[in-house]
Amino acid sequence: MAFRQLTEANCGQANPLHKLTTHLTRDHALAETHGQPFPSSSDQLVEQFLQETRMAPQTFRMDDLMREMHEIESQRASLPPVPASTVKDHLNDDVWALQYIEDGKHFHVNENEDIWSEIAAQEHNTHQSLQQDSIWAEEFRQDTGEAVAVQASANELLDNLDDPQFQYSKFMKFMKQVGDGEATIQDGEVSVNDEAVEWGDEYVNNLRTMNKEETAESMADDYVASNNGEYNSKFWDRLQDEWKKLADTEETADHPWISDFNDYYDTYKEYNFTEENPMFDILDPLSRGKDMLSKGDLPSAVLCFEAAVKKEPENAEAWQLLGTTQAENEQDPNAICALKRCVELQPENLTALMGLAVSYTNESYPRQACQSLVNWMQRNPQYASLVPPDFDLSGQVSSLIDQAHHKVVQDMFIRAAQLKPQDVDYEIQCGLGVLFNLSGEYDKAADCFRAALSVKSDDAKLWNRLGATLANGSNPEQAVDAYHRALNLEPGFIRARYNVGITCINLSAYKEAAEHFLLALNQQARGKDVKNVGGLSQMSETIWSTLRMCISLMNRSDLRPALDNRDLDALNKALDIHES
Amino acid sequence: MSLQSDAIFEMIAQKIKESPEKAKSVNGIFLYNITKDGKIVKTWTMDLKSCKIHEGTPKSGKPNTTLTISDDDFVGLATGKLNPQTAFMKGKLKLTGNVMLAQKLGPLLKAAEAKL
Repeated sequence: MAFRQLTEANCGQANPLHKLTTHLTRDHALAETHGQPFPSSSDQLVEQFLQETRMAPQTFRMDDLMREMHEIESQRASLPPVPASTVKDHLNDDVWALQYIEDGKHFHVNENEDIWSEIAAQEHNTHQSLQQDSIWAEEFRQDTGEAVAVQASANELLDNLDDPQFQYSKFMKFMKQVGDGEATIQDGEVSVNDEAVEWGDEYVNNLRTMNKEETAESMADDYVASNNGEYNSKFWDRLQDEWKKLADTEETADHPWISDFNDYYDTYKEYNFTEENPMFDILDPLSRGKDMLSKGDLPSAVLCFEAAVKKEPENAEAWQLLGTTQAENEQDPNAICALKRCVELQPENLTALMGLAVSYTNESYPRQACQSLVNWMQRNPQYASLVPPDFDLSGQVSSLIDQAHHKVVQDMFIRAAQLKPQDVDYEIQCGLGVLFNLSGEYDKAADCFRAALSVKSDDAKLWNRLGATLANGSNPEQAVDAYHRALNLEPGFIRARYNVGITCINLSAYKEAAEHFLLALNQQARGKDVKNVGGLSQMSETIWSTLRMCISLMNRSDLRPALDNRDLDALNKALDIHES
Repeated sequence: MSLQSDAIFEMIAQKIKESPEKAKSVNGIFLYNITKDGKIVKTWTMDLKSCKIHEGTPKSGKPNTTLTISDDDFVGLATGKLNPQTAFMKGKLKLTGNVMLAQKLGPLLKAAEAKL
């Protein structure tokens, strides 16, 4: 949750990373006391480097060097080896001396040449590095690396292979097709236009009848000639544009090419019914379910509602109760299935729509959550007018929500709240709370839930939502208070108990966390009607996997087998939980 | 060598097995270097393109992002004790490669999140 500030592309709001970089780049105090210990920013770095390299040729200014060389040369020449008295005696040997000078001259020349070549090399290097620098800088600024690279390599390949043998190989044919746009590379697969396929077949046939080299080359030439230029640039331009778009948008999944993971609908299509539900046999499972719910026995209520919807698949109320109860029972995936079914049957069911928004938020599907909230508002006669007529988020492909869309939905709800400033509508506040949770603004979300509670202080669900908001906003102490209020109102509130466990984990109190989770699991197993089924049916996967992690963090891997077998008794004994 | 972070990776593996779309929405290959007392003691690969989490370096393909973090800090991140931004700024979390992709990892790593 705290990643939000990094993840959001909120312009104008202080980005902590950016603030940090300003410390580094404009820390004047540091600069004053220590000079410039490290290069300040990448731009300045580049500047410095360029300056340094620019200076390099200066130190190797040819004119000065030439002069120096001449001086040395002349000095050397003018200074014959100083004849000592002994040497003077051997003036006959000035042959040797002359030769030495001659050699010296040669040597000088050699030396000069060496120096010259060195200088030339140096200059070349610096120039090269300057050039390279600018090339790198340019490439770095460009975004369309990929398309250019593929195109470049394809064309390079074509250029380099002049060998006639290669000209009619299959691979060359393919490369030509790619280069000319006949074949397109989509999703890593190659799809070749029919035309090209025909051509290929024709080519193969012709091969059999006529002289190999002749036809191949001529056909290759024809093909290249006919398709040169036009196809090439058109296709690659289009590709480049699309990649640019992709690179620019934050949501890369907006593009049809990357849409194949959007099959999320399938995961929430089918409801997972409990096998062997004893409630099937009773007369009116729906009423019994409501009864169980009022008694606070969530797992039993779930069983009853499941039986009810099996009996009456078109009963929207039954589906709705099943959905909301499953959510309280810490089974969001099932809750979403049930609520979706309810909305299909009864699109104006506001409770179901709000429930969907909450469950989608918990399962990290922000776009679907926002869409549910919008639908809620559209179906609500009081606020329907606030929704723009064509507002529909379902066209988007990914489950990540666009900043702008989220803001729009938020504004809608704020305006709805402002419609009746004196009279707090707790549902609107709830919706706003959910929206602020999605955007990571936990303080605002907490305020909204508190406002909702001011008019409906006996709603355990609202207390739990307040608690969850506070916990996710890194405020565990206040969160625990809220959870306790919820549990006081509804002791069988599995989700609230799970959340308490989560807060314990946040505080690294792993043992206490495990105890809470086990308590919740025990409750799920001990539901009045559940006992007959065998206890395992109504247990939440979420709780089990979190408990598993907890046990590992407690370094009690000896309990692993009990976890795998879902042996509640063994775990209870191990952690000293007494089933009272 | 068994580390506390093993439990976290296991939980994440479970999570993406149940809902692969969450992995696909991030769609990257991440390499985790888990350190203890300053030395890298274990590496994990989170291949979200093929929805696999396993020890060691990526079996196919190169990692988009490499993260280096100590065992305790990683557990802190997952359990909500340590804030990812704070971790990054304090230098407890080191990132190389595609940083934007790493930010998308956030929701996936939340092992202990309170439910509304």
